[in-house]
Amino acid sequence: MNALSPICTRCREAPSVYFRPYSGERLCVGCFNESLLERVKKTVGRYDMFEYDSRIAVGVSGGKDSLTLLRLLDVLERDRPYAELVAVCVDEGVKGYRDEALALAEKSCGELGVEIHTVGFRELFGETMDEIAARDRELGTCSYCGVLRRRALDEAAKEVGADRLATGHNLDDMAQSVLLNVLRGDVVRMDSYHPGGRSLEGFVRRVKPLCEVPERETAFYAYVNGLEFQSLPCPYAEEAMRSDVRRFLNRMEVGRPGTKFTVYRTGLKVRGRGGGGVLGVCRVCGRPARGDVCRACELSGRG
Amino acid sequence: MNLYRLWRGFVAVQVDVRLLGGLREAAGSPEIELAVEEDSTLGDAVGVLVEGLPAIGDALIDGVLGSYAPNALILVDGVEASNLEGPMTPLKEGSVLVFIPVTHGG
Repeated sequence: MNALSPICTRCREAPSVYFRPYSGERLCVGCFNESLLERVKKTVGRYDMFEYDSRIAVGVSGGKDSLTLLRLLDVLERDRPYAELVAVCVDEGVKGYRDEALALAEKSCGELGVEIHTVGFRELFGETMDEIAARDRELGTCSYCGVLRRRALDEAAKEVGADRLATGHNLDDMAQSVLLNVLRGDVVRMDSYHPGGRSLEGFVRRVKPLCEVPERETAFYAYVNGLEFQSLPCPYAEEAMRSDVRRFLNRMEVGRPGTKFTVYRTGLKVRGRGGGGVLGVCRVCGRPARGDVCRACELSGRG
Repeated sequence: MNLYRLWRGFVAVQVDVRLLGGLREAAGSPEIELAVEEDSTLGDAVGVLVEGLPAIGDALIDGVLGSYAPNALILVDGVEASNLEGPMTPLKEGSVLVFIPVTHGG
């Protein structure tokens, strides 16, 4: 341990290892872990994310956020003997990249004794992400992958009989989404911005228990708890607008700590003022859709 | 992998750099032995690293702020650097620097 390290502001005993600029806290490893667990517990309670007997599908990608989520929910759900966790993974078919991630997901689930269920883009949509990336297309790869992954996770959650789907979206993801929707003028999408999700006929309710945990803290948690997470960046990562927003918010947070929380909470405040839009039914798959055909069927060429 | 920047007549200290996530890929190695001048700080070590491995610089250093802070956590002997003195944190012989990228998928 570094001799210069100040004492933890929470327990006032152990040397601190982590500084939270937005709150001024200096935390030792034990208090850091405890504080993250408490924050997630509060978030879960505030948005009534789970029932006492929920079967929770946890979307696990092998990255730091999803592995942190799995670990924290595993600890939290020990207090709920009737609740169950099951990991759901999506094999998008990105050679090299996804292989490493799935191996890490399996390792982590094995350590916790959590059942794991994997679905693939090829089986669900007829083509892999490598094939989608190689063909003529109008949109960037992330636009396809984002929509199809979301659908695949929902499909996997249904297959394992889950009533909730928990994903590893963190505070940074949430704040980025708010700004992106503002920049795109997408007030309808702002309406669906809710960490507790919605119960919609045809979809497993999606919840985001890490919505108030900054990405730096999921990274730190994963490291200090020895979680081995994916090292390869996605070869198709190219969503320019989100990357620009991410960089902007990260710079703002350095100079003005707490910016991401402010943007996230602003998103929650303005939510519900965009009219919402009326959901119909996709004529191909029968799930809720904003138009005649849902986005997943449209992008996978079935609409 | 070894990276050294030594000035004739100066005493050097060696620190171990451990890279995680995309930084590991950018460097092509998970660990780097870095020799810096005595009384160097974390900021000095980052400078030597980026000079020796420009590919890391692209992933690590923010182009506007000229700092690693928006993109990575750096642990100095197990303590996150902003809990110490940030880039001014002094290094000693055998210090272990862990670089964790935070702008990488989750």
